[in-house]
Amino acid sequence: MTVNQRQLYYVLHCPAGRPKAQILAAGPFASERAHAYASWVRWARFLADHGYEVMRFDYSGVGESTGQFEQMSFDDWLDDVCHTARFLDRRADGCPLILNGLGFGGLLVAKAFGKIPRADGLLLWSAPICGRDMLYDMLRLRLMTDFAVTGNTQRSSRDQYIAQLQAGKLVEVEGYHWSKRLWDQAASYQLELPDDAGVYRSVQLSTAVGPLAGGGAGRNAGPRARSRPQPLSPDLTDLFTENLHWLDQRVEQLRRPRP
Amino acid sequence: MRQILQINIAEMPLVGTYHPPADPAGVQASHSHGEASDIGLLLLNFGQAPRAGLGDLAVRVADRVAQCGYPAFRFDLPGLGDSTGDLPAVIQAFWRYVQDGGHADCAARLVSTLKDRFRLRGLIVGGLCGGAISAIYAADRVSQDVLGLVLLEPEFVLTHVPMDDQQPNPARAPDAMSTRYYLLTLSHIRRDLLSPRAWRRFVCGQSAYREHVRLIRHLLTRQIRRLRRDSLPDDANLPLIHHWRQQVKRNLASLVICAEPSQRQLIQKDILGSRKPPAVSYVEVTGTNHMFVAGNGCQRVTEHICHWLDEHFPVAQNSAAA
Repeated sequence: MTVNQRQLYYVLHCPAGRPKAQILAAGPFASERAHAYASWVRWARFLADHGYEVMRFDYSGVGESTGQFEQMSFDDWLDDVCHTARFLDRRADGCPLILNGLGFGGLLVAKAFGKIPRADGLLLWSAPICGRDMLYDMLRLRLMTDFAVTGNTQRSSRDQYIAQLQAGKLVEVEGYHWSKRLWDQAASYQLELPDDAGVYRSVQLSTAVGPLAGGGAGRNAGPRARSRPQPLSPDLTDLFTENLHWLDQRVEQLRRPRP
Repeated sequence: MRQILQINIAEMPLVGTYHPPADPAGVQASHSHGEASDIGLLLLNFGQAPRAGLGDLAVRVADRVAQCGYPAFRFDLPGLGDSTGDLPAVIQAFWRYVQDGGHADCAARLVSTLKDRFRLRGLIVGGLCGGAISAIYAADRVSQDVLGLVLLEPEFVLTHVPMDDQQPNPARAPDAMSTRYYLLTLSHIRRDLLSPRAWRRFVCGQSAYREHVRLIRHLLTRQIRRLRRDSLPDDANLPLIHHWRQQVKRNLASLVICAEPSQRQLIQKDILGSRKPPAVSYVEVTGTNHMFVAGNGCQRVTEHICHWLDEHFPVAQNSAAA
């Protein structure tokens, strides 16, 4: 799919028969993508096995999608969400559309919900309250890396990195270069939930499914640095089943004629 | 423009991305026009990460390499990224699976398939950590198709798999333990040492001391290695090292990029020996981490790879040969 002269990578998981609904799955922020990928793919396949058509995609400048990450920002990624929704619209055939977001993706789909008239539901997993808060928290990853690489010497504080961003310098976090534009736009992205509580479900994932949301300390360490047994992919059966149940209920509600 | 590929290997659909090469003017060209190199670069999964790698390192390398005129491919091996397949539950078990060459067959068949489909002279295979391991094994299986190796943070030491994920060992059951301890009293050991029957049982593997065979074998192996001045660590991945040494012996060009200085001793001295083989280029990228996602590791690694490709497989020369 081409969006603003960039190639947007997407994967469509189709069910065996006619879909119950379409799910637009917006993944986490760039630095969490690789860590959450396996679970995110499993979720999409699980939904397809239960009759949903799922579309997941990579944001511009991230993963398989083209573009330079440092030139991208929240508005570009919101644009990606709207474009992918329009793509699904063309193959909807009357079935409902539910927006699903993990972490940063939750923030985006919540914002997009008001802009996509066809959207019938919102499923949020660990959506942050605000884009700026999310980035502030993610700077922790940079501090962790600094500590691992340089030890106690030559380390900057989180506030010093923020000052660099505000001064227009790029700051590298987990291999991605954050820009001033990214930092500035993040402040205007607040979690916007619909007034009708029946159309959305917001779940904060527990630490038990931490790897789905990105793992913890030592996530970039090699085999020699990790001796404790760690799950390659966490057991998410309960999470999947509960959320499938909510989706089924929501689709059932939409099928009923309105009074 | 990147292209998504799906290739069936042993009835397993593998998903990958193709970065078509650019012609010398920088315009992306179709390889079939013969304007670019006829040698491709294939990057395998960096550990358990999807084919883009952490910090999209693999994407950046492939993009840059394609800009330099080489077709580049990145693939998800079975169970990883977008490719289907089963994986072990525990991360250490997965690493050990890769270290034992679990992906070797698949990677080797992928190399041959890509070579034929894109009419290439051969491929340079690479990856980070587990990807580097699979690249070495694949190069051994299809040596005629692999022209070089790009090894980022290769792991030559075996991962210890937690006991929970291993097969239960009946000899370690509590009742066996108590019998074993009973038999290991000093008087019994003395008696058995002088008994031809006990020795026959030991040789046949029927002895109560059979648990100690491994210990004796380990001690003997260590002594032999010491006598041969082999300084590899006890948990070294010997089959992998053997394969790589064979490839180095047949002058297969290898680029090794490491982030951790501790690797230098192991690779340059313990594995390759004191005489630096001309086929191996060793680069150390300091101030970064294992995944090269700090200290501008991505850019530095990418530049090293392009420089090495230009030095060993220059595009103009390749095109002329084609």
